[in-house]
Amino acid sequence: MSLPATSSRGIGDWLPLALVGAVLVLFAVTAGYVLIEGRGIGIELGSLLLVGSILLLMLTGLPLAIVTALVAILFTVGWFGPMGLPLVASRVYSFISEYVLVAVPMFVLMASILDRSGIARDLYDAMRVWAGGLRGGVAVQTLVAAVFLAAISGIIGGEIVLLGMIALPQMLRLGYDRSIAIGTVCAGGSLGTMIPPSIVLIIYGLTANVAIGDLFLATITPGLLLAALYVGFILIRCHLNPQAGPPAPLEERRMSLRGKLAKLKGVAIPMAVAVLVLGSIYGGIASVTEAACMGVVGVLAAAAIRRELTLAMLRDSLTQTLNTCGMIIWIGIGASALVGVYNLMGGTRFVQEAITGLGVAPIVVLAFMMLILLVLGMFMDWIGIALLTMPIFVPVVQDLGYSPVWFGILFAMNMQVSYITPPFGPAAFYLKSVAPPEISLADIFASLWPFILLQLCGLAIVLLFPEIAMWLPEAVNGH
Amino acid sequence: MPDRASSAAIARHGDQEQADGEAVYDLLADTRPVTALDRRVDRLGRYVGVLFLVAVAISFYEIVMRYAFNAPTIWVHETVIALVAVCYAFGGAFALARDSHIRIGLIRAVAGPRVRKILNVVNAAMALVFAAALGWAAYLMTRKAWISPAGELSLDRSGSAWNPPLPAMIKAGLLVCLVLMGVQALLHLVHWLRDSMGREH
Amino acid sequence: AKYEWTFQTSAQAGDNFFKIEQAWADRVNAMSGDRIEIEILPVGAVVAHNETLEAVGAGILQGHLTDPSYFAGKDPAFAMLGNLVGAWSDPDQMLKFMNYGGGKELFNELVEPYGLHFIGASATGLEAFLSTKPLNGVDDLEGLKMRAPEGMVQEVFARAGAAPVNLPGSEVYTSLEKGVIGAADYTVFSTNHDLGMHEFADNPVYPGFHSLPVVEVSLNKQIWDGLPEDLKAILEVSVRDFARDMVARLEVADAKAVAEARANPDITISDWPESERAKFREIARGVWKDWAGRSDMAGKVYEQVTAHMRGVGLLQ
Ligand code: NA
Ligand code: NA
Repeated sequence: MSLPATSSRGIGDWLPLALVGAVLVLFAVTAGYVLIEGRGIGIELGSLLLVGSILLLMLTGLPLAIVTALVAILFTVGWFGPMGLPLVASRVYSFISEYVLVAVPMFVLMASILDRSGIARDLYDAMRVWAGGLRGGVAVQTLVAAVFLAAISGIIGGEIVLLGMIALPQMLRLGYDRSIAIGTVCAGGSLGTMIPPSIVLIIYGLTANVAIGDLFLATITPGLLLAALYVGFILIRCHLNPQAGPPAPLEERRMSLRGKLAKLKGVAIPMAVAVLVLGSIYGGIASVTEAACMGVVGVLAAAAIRRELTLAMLRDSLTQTLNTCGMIIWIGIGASALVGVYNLMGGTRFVQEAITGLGVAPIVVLAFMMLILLVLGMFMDWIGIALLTMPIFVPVVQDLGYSPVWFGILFAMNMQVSYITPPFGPAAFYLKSVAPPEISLADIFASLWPFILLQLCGLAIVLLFPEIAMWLPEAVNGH
Repeated sequence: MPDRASSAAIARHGDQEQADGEAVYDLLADTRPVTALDRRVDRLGRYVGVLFLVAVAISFYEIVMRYAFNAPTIWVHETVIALVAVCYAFGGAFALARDSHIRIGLIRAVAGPRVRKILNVVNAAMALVFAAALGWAAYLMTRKAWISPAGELSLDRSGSAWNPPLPAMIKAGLLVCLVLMGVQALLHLVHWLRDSMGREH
Repeated sequence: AKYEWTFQTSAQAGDNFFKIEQAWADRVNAMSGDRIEIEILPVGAVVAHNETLEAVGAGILQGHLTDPSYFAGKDPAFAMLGNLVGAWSDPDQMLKFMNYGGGKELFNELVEPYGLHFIGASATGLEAFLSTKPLNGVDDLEGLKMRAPEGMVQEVFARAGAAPVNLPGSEVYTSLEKGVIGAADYTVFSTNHDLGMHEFADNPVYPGFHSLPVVEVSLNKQIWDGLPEDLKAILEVSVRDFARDMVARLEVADAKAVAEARANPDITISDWPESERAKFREIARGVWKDWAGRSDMAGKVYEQVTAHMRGVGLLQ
């Protein structure tokens, strides 16, 4: 088998070889130390070693799913002995049988069928024609679609997979700059937890005992603010560099109105599916999780009407769904196991001591909490972060006299950042699981930093001007 | 850019079974050992994937029964969770067979063939440790779900009104998948050891 | 501290139960002269809510404070001891059965094989029932789409004519709001109120008629067996006090929330008359009897509970 060697012959193998050696020795030393010393290490150094071993193992090219699970296993055995191992198995079992995650394969399947039929392509052809001469117009349309999608999905995984399978290849086909296309999909797709319904806010509400309806109202403006920031960035970037988001060619723009209207047919089917899903949620027909299943049924029907539904196509869609789910769920499995172990190691108390030892102005405490959330967001899944920090943060926030609703929005915005920051960026993983193979994880993360900055801007704005979040629930509740 | 290039790339990505291990479509393609077991797992995936369709169908049935006939079922939600859980568990082995698990190969990106071979051996060994440890843990968990403290066969049930023994089944399914992944990793290790020792050019 | 334990509770971090439980842990620390230090972690922190029995038995967690109904799938007796639907009309009756009616001994017989020792029971109080339409008696349950968790509750409601829907707690809010379901067995009135559930589920039934979950406080058996007598006594007495503390505090919180809800013209609280409660209890008793045949322990629980209830005049 011929290997696509990327290193030039000139450098030789010694540098990578030395690197591999160094990484393996370092990991072996860490692992040995953890196994021998056990909980004597203490939580401070333990936290560092835990993050360090994740990074070391990642470098070797070991699948992330195995990296996180291996580190969880290592620290479980180190801290609690081999008899602690069932903890990891228990987390795995609970994770795969989590009801909320049932929506993930449904969205993936929906995307897979949309992609294999011509529906997605027709949609984007119509979008291009209607975007006219606007530079970056299709990316902006994709963001608008993402906001609508966000209103029918409470999680991010499914939405990003959907956009990654549909919007990304289409934007690339239309000649869009790769980093703009990737950023649009990851940041836009993450809005699923910023626009209600949002499982992040529901879990936050249940955890912090805060009215979920108020959270849903409060999150709308910040969610739209984020979307507006993304739109503004894309428009400015494409204005400065027309190559980044080329408008439709002149002959398409000169298309007669009748031709343009004919193209709208491509929008009709996706719209009908969106109406079906939205309608089934807001009409009280299906729960948020079940609505994803309505989407699959709608897409299947649409493909059948277009005479594109074949057994081979269905089989391919199903195997791809299996593959994609296998990839993303197993990363989650490892991360979930890690959270259980870390909490048991005393992670909660560790964070608590970091917060309570401060003795500074309330706003600084708040900023410090944001910083902790951002740092944790680099290494953990949002559910783990919520479990770890909410028992500590929420009472402190209330003692300081801040609104827990507003804090919930800040938390959700922090999680937006966490989805796309390396090294543990779920949104990037979701996209990678369906992106064309030539797009590497490194490409994805490299494309995301402008969007991280935009999210941080959004976070700072809502931190400094709480009214942006709070005006709507206050107006509705009349106080 | 040719018109359907990227969609075609995706299609290729999804239709890996057609490539059947020959095609080099990925920078990381040399990590894919293609053992006979992997091929079999890959083929099995076609059948397991159908479970998703079953989950969609019965969810739809539940929605219709509940909304149109005011007659929600007691079995759909739990069945859907179990179907999806089994798919998730098997998905781990499936992605391992296709070598599609997500990785960040910073060293690999700059490494030549010789170092890559070493990394392949190391990674297969780590995957084996992972599957062995997790498999052992899953065995302990499954044993408790199948055998009561008194030592009798007694399957853990869900405790709902329907009360199916699905928790015991899912746990056993997870164990099977982990054992499968362990054997896969073992065969990968053998493959890469041979590759790095025997077929040195 | 000589003994450092981690307990996982079934409460959410922001629940008022959680703080009451932490206060109990603090008191144990003080009473034991700093020999025992218990860290209470919220639901899901280490293992899922329905996996703590295994985790405590294996020594991964040292103890738990939880609703035993979560383990109904292991032995139906857990559901019968954990939440005997319709049996008690106030927490005191249940606690008397646990402490003086043989409940505690039975509970230990049940959990000891799993490697746990049951220290004592607390309760969250009589739960409230969330409903989007007026419910004034058993007849109104006919055809009602309602969420019910695992345990006996689903079956009792099904027999009462309702159509139970199997939904996880995280879907209750949106499903009730959008009308996917019409009612839900969720939690106590004050928590429901804090979560804003009454904004659309504006016909709550309070006090509830259906559910009074036990909060089981258990410790790993090996650890318990190795404790000196004074610490055992401290734990037992502290849990007995904890139960009082929890019930009383939640009653105060509920009363405040109920007063607030009554002041709101959009919310109508329904309080079932004794005759309707008795009707529901009758239906529930049929289910108890069925469950009694499902395992040896369940049979024993049934005998013991009905004997106790007859003894104290709760059953004829
Ligand atoms: Na959403
Ligand atoms: Na991140």
